[in-house]
Amino acid sequence: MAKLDRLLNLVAALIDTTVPLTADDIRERVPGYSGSADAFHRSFERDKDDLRELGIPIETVTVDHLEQPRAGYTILRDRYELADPGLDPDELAALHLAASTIQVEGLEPDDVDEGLRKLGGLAGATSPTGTPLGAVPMPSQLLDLFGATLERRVASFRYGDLTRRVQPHRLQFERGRWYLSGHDLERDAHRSFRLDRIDGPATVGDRDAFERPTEVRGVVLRPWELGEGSATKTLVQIDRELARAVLADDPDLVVSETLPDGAVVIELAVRNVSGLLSFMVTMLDRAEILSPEAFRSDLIDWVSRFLTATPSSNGNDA
Amino acid sequence: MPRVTATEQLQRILAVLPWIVQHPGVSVDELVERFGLTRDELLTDLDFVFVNLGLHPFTPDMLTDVTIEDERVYVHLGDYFQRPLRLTHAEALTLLAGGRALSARPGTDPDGTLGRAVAKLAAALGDGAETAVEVALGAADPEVLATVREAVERNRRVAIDYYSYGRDEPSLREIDPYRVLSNDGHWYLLGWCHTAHGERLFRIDRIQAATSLAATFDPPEGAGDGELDLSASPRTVELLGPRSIRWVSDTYPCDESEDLDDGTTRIVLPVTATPWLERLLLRLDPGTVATDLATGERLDTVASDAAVRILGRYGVGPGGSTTPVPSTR
Repeated sequence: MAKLDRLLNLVAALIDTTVPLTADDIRERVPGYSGSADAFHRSFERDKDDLRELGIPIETVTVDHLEQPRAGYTILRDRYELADPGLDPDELAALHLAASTIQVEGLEPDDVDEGLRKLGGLAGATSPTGTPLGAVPMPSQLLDLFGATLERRVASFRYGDLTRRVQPHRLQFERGRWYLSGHDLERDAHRSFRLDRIDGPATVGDRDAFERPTEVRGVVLRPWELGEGSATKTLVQIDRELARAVLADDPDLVVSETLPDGAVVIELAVRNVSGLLSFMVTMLDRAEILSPEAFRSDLIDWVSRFLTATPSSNGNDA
Repeated sequence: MPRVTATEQLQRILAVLPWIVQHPGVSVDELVERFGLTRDELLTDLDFVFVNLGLHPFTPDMLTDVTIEDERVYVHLGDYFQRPLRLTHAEALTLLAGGRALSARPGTDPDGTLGRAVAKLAAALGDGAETAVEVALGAADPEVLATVREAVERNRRVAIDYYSYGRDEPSLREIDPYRVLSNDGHWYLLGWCHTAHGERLFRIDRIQAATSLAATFDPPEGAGDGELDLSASPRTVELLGPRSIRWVSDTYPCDESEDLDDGTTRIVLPVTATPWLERLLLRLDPGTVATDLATGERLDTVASDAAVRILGRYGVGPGGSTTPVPSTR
């Protein structure tokens, strides 16, 4: 209990103080620190680490102290205090259910409980079966990149043999993978990165380092939408057998018509024709471009190359 | 009572205390229920705070006052612990990701309870949290999912109308369902397939329809407990082509990938079914040579057979005319 006594009163003292407290101030003011100066410093260092581990933002600043500057400690209220989310009991229960239904692998169920207590309580039941029904993988860099996104810190990491420096805007889990999208400072352009291809850890810089754009863009996983310029409205018919699989992979596709036999016609905004062709051939002969005519011809040309091609063992670039 | 570390107890106190301060006179029962604590835990925490919490120089006005009167709790504190501590990144991520994943499912009302809860949570986490995380899990049909779940619970056989993407093959199958699981964002049904006479894994978003049958089954000991093997006895295929085929090794699991001195790239990868290989080859340079490494057989006809079928759909004859035939549509 001596430790809890120290920790609780240390946090209260650091929140309450208007000037940063030096280690000596703390030793004098906070009960529970006893023994020699050495013993005090060891316990104080350990306590600071423990508190920071809980997410308590202890700031270290330099304070003038007689002849030589010393480290001073404080907790800034606006970094400590959670804004009141104003969650109703049924909303808390919905969050509780969601977080126990879909688990982020590698995070503890305790994180759910602790988070909910701060938000106003652990209302409601957990998942009906008592076990999580789905799980999202957690790549090792995910938490740091999430923190960097929230706190507007520049993230640096190795990707494709290069070091990238990115202003992170959004993390997305799509089709089984995590993606980070943001402003790539080396290329001065919007870029998306697969987290499973980041080499090693991501390091993050100071908080509030950049302005977030007014419109936050995510990753583009539709190959026919890659690129700039104007879009051509394209209609594609997909057979019944395949329609569900395609729509399950991308539930936001626009279905313009469902035919009596269960086939669907989807409407695509095509900016990138080879992206469209690549999407079409993954559906083999279970799909067809209906319009425009030019894209039908492009597809026929593309596929016909596989009839006439004579494979050669040294396969020179076409 | 399980032993609780000092930091765990501290977390609890820092979350519960501000709530009591802001709801003077709350009942012990409500606190116990709301925060998922035992009565003992709550009373121990309050007693601890009463006895120990205060500020230098610990004159009576600097100490904490805790009163429990007729089961109602009142706490008077200095000007600290008025609000709970912010969420850690782990806490915020697990709540936000879970909430986003469920509320993003098709058919979920974005203005429903969960949608509102996620929006409020994001607002409390600060600017940018609203757009920081999106989680799209496999969009399995809720009806199909419910049917197979219930069948798993009750050991009922199910009939499924299944489309195998890898084999590009629709089929009607009867399954003894062992387990529903989620892997990398997709829902799977694991069970004994009476058509294939073996344990199989089915992606639930590719089940067109599922019907519970009258037949029941006894799950064999340890059914479905084994390691998940998503790749059923693949054959090993070597691709030899121009450098432009390198993206394959970034996108699919490959056994080997190397750039050769003569300007070509060599990739060795497992292939479970021919349609999968067709889709891949049709996206590569036509000069790419595929070879079955086990037999040494050149798979030249794989891409051309698929090309003939596709062109047939567009009304182009098997003669391999590269002139597009005008569509009548």
